This record gives sequence, structure tokens and C-alpha cells, in this order.
Amino acid sequence: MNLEYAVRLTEILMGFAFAQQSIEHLKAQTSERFLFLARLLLALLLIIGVQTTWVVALLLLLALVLLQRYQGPYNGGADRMGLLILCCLCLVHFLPVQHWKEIAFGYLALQLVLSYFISGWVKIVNKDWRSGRAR
Amino acid sequence: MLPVLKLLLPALVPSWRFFDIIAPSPRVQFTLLNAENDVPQEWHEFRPHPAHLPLLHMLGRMLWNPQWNESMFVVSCAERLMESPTRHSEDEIMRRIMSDVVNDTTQVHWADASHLQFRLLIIERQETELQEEVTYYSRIERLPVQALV
Repeated sequence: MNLEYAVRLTEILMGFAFAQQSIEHLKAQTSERFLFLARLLLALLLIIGVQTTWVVALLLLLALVLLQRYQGPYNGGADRMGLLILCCLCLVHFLPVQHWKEIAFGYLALQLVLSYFISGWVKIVNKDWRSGRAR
Repeated sequence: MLPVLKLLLPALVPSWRFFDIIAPSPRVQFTLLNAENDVPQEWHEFRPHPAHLPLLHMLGRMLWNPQWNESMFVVSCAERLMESPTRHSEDEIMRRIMSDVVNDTTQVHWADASHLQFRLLIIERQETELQEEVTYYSRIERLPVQALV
């Protein structure tokens, strides 16, 4: 698999995740509904593959607005991972040198592996996580 | 711009060490008052977990569960309130409780009530016993006028 194909797959999967999350917010009573409507439209454009460079940049901008709105990630770890993916995808799109693009995408891959490995390892060695006492 | 970047930084350089600590999750409870200086009589848990969830519902919730995601945000706000209280976190929790009360999703009779307050509770297991500790009381907020009708 080459870098372009891996990036495209990442964009599609992230687009589906953002779209699903945005639809959940459309029932919200307040102005945040409009922010998530914009996010939903951008996520759909990303899935289809329209102007992905600018769509990713706009999604990052919108994510910063949401970060400010909620004074942090709305859904903890999942939102943080979404932000990390967005930032790395932006770097992949905007960095001028292929090698730098690979480093940015490699950093994302490393953090993704670490997120699963460390959380999994802690749950293996700590019995409170397995017994259901940890929440 | 700087405050947003401060919020963004933990996402760019994640620390996965937080899994090491099993901190008790704060519970949010609310009470309805008949006047601003009324003494709380009964505290109700905000969005208690269902005692039983059918398998089909459980599977459905993997794809669609906005209320649970919102409840997770409420817990985040509660944790922030315990660490360093801000008006933002209190407002976010208050707004959601108010909405549930007024829309009758809490199953708590509110027609006679005029004010609302919430508190945060930590439940810790000490060997076999559960110990409760109240860590935060919110301001007392007036319910919408419709509530008095």
C-alpha cells in the first residue's frame, strides 16, 4: 500500500466517523447544531473525495471552533484521536516534501498503535479494569 | 488563539499514562427547590444507568447513542469542575439538567418547583463498602417560568 492510498483510506474512515458523530448532534437544541451540520457536509465531501486538501483544512478549523466551544474535546479520547488524525492529514496535504509527509503520517500511525497497545496493556496487568470496578 | 492551542496540544502529543490511574467517576445529582433559599430534600441521579439493557438495544447503541455521548461530556465537565471550577463547565451541566427536567425525561415531578441545583458526588470502594463524598455544589438556578404553571 502506498502513502496516497493509505491517506485516502484514512480520510474515508474519518469521514464516516465524523458524519456519524455529527448526525447525533443534529438533534441538539442550540447553535451547535449548525456547527455539526457544517461538519457533516464536510465529512460527506471527504468521503466522496471532493477537494480533500481544503476539506481537511476546513474540518481542522471547525474542530478548533468546537474545541473552543466545549473548552476541550467533547468525547475525550475519541475526539482527541480525531484531532490528531486531522492535524496529520493536514500536514500530509500541505507539506511540500514527500519525506516530511511520510514522517507526519508515520507519527499518526505510531500514536494509533500506542493508544491501543498502552490502554490494552494497562487493562491486562490491572485486575480492577477487568473486574468492572474501574469506570 | 493561544487558549485553543493549549487545548489542542494534548491531542497532538498524547499522554497514554492516564489509563494507569483508576479514578472514581463523578456522579451528577440534582434537586428541585420551591424557593431560592429552600433546603434540598431529595437528590436525584442525573441520567442513571439502566438496570438492564436488552441485547438489541445494546447493539443499536453502538451505532446511535447521542444521549450517552452527551452524558460522557457531562462527566468531563464534572471532572473539570472538581479540578478547577469554571462557569463554562457549570453552565454546560446545568443547561442539560434543566432541559431534561423541563422536557420531563427525568421522571421527576417538577411542576411545583421554582429552582434547581446540582451537586457532584464521588463514590469510592473502601474494601467491601462504598463511600460517598460530595465534592461540589452548583449555584441555585431559577427554572423557566413555564415550570411554575
